[in-house]
Amino acid sequence: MLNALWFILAGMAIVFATLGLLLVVMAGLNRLLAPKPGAKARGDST
Amino acid sequence: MEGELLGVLALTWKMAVMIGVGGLLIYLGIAREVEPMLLVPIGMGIVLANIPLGGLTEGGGLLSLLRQIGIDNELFPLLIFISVGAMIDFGPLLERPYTVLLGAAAQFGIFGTFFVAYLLGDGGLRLLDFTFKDAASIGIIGSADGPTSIYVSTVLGTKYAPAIVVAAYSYMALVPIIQPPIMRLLTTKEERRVTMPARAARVSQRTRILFPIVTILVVGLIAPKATPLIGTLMFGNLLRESGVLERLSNAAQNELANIVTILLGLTVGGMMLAEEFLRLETIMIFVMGVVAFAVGTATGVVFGKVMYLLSGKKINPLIGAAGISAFPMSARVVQKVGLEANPHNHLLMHAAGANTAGQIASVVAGGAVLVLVPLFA
Repeated sequence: MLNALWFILAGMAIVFATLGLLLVVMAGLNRLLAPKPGAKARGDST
Repeated sequence: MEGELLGVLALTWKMAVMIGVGGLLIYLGIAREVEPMLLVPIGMGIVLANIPLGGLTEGGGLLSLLRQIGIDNELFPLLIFISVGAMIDFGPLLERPYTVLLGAAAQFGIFGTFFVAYLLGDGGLRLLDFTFKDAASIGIIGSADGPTSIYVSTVLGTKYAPAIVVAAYSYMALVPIIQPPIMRLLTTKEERRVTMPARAARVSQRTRILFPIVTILVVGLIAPKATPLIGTLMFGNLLRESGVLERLSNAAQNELANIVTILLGLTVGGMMLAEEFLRLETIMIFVMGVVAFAVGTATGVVFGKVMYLLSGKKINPLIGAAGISAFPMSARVVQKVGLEANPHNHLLMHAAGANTAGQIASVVAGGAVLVLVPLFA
């Protein structure tokens, strides 16, 4: 059963590490490529 | 005359039961309008596959051929993912990047269910014929994502792939029934009432175009086994967001999606042969499907509660339930439960962020399972 517990821990670690990195990347993209004031980009949902 | 009756003579009670199951799915799809695009082709596939001496599932038969070209080599789920990617608007996620963590948390449904299945099988009690690989494949039902379930269970080569796929697709329709009681149980009325602003920071078109490319790189480099899934999903999304490929985007969302859905449904139904399907393990896989969706919902909501506290009670924990993927059903469920607690509270866009994050997270989790099973099994 120990290998099952390690499997779970490693699996969740991979998921959180990948999505955590994606969070950083999204925040970075939003900051670096923020829409210019007054400009309305195509497909903006707000 | 005897030749014409041979089919009847070869009919076993198990085949008759399976034909009844197929009929039930067709009834639910047409009369009750429960996921008709999935249940009608699956139901018809079951009926066709279980007519004795029909030959559709034997070598060279239609269903056998479709299985070889579309399921055994994982083609159909990947083609479906191009369509799904073209249909998904990742805007709500990009506007609220923090919701990506809710998608990650809800993937515990996969690993929690794996643990239960493994415990019941080779991992301890040995009540069921579940190996480590089978248990991991069963857990993937918790991804609440049909194509990922097909892909992972096929690559792992479990004999329970048909049951897993049918369970994954069937429970998608039951999300509005499974999720709300768990959401209410794990949250207080005060928490459910938390109002979140409907508007968020704007996202530029360049961000929307770069997002699918960057996501392929991030996911592919960390969980390479997820590359086929995330690659096709994000390729579809790039068609949508590029702004210059409207025809291809429309084709992916309509023609491709419709054709592959027909073929996939028939093929999945055709995999449900009486002798292989009617056994205790299959019934338990369906039971564990409920466990998978319930655990994923619960961990998403619990993580939402953590965010609620860390944010100074500004984040409504209900949105965590949408982290299980099941796009867009679970986001709608969150909106509905939120409105019950506070008629002025519109959580849909926040839940859609978690929901699309769940889509990406389930693919990552599938890749993680594929990488880890050979190491730990």
